[in-house]
Amino acid sequence: MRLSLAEIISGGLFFSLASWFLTMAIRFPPPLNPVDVGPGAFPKLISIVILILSAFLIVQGFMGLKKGKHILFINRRNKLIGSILLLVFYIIIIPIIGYYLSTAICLPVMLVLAEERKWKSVLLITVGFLLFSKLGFGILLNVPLP
Amino acid sequence: MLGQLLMGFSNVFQLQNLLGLFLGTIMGYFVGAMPGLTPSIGIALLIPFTFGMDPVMAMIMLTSLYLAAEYGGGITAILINAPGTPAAAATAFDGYPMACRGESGKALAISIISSATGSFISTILLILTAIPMATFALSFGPAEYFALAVFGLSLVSSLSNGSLLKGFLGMLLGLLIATIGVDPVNGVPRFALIPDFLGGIPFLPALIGLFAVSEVFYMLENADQKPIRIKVIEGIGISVSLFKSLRFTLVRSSLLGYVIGVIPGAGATIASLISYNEAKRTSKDKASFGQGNPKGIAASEAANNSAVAGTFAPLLALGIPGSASAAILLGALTIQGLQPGPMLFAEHPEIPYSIFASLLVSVPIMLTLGLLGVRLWSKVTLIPKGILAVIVSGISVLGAYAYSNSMYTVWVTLVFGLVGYLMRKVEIPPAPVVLALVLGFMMEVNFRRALVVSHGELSFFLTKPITVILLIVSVITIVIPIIQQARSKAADKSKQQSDERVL
Repeated sequence: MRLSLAEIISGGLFFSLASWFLTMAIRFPPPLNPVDVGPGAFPKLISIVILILSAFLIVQGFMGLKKGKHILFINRRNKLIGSILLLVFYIIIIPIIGYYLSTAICLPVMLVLAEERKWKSVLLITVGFLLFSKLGFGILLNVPLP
Repeated sequence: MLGQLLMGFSNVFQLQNLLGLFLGTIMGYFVGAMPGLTPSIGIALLIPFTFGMDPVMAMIMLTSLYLAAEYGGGITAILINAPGTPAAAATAFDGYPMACRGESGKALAISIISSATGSFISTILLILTAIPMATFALSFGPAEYFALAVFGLSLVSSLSNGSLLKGFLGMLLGLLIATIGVDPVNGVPRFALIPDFLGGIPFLPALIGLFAVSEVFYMLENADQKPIRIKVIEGIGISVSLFKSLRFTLVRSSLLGYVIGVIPGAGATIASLISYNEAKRTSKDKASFGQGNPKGIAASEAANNSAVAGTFAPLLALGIPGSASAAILLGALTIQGLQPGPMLFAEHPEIPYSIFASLLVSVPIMLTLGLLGVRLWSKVTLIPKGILAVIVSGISVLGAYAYSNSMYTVWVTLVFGLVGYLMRKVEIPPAPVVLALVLGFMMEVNFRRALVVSHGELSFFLTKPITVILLIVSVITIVIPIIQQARSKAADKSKQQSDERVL
């Protein structure tokens, strides 16, 4: 993907986000104290400035398309997406099956996705990390892990 | 005063107190280095162990932990772009690029020496000026805090790495996110789509996401690359000539850090960001900042450690805690049956002067331990990127959970990690987002408080000298880079046109 196209998309996302915040902020109640600006003033002001600047970003992106700016490249895209989805899955299952079991399942898979092929290394790193979690956080810092 | 200070030193050099100082330093390193754990958490965890201790020993342990934790945050900031403490975020700007080119040992050495220098200078200032500085801090009202926040936000221009438009967009995004939660003046929920949002977006998990988790995704992209070779660490890791070149930065940053640390609510994070900006602004090689300039690390680390001593000025002299850590230390003093304030110096002088002495004695201990660890810690960069990415993601999840024992903060970390990664891909710097998350709340709430105090008169801001000075400097700091960039573009365009004519 060209950087310019990415700028247009990100400008659009900023525009949409700011529009949503502005719409919500308009509905906030007036201030209790008449000299106060109220809960909606700052969000409205910031949203309006973002709307203006994101329009500039979109225009900059279109101008860049004509000039042909550099290509945006994501290396190892499929494995990266797989790792991100696995991370999401990991966070979802932590409160369901517990931290240690979910780490024991997901960490080795993440290591394999990260090109680690030696099973001894995968085992050692997983066990080592679980021990670190238990000793450092569970016992020393008394953090009650799920 | 000299006699009382000598008494303080004699207390510190008692065997059990020295042991307490050493243990506090070790624990401080660990707590500070772990993303998700802050110095305040470390102090809170250690307090129960100090219940049965002598008050002097208790305060020595807690003080040394606080100091070491502020340095510890720089270790992970440099090695894996995961600041262990919010105040180490600015250290990562130049520390991590140095580590990426094999100079992790040098970066760590600069970090520890700068921290030690900052601590030493600020402790001397604390001993000499604790009471007058605390009185100065009382002159800061809502208008001054608002102006300080605006001044801090004006640093966006130096953190924008070339595109001011993208830098401002990042800052504004951070300001918008900072409004999520409960309105601080009216108590009205704002943008609270889920109940967890009522507490706002927690800063430290967001920071871990923007820095560490986004870097995890970059590391996973390059998991098939071989690790970089680390350059041989000679001596203590830093040459005498390099140290000499950093001396002005160190002194300036230490002074800035101390003054900002004295102001309640300002803290080490703001001190390190402002100090970083000043180092960049006064440098002849501004473009190298953010690419691995040693002055960037020195400025940040000297300031954040210097702010620790600054925090003690209002705490001990007036009983006013200026930060979360100071508030917990206030609790520790109260538990020991002591009341901070002017009478503490009169009725229990051994406490403040032992704290002063422990701050000074901690410096060489912290420095020795830090320099001894440089060769060991720098080997982290030899770990293959893929494995390091997985370990960092695991630590980020642990640290985010430990922040509040809740999966909500883990989700915040992941979301900010994805946002940070995508922003970096589109060349929108994440640093202005961090800046806005730190300062946005302070700016809004103090502006509105100032309006209430002044009955709606905006001219109130112009009646305060400190406010006026800070606002003028802020405008200059924002406007000048815009003008410089416009001139630079115009110059490039005319050069291009003249080249075309020649051809």
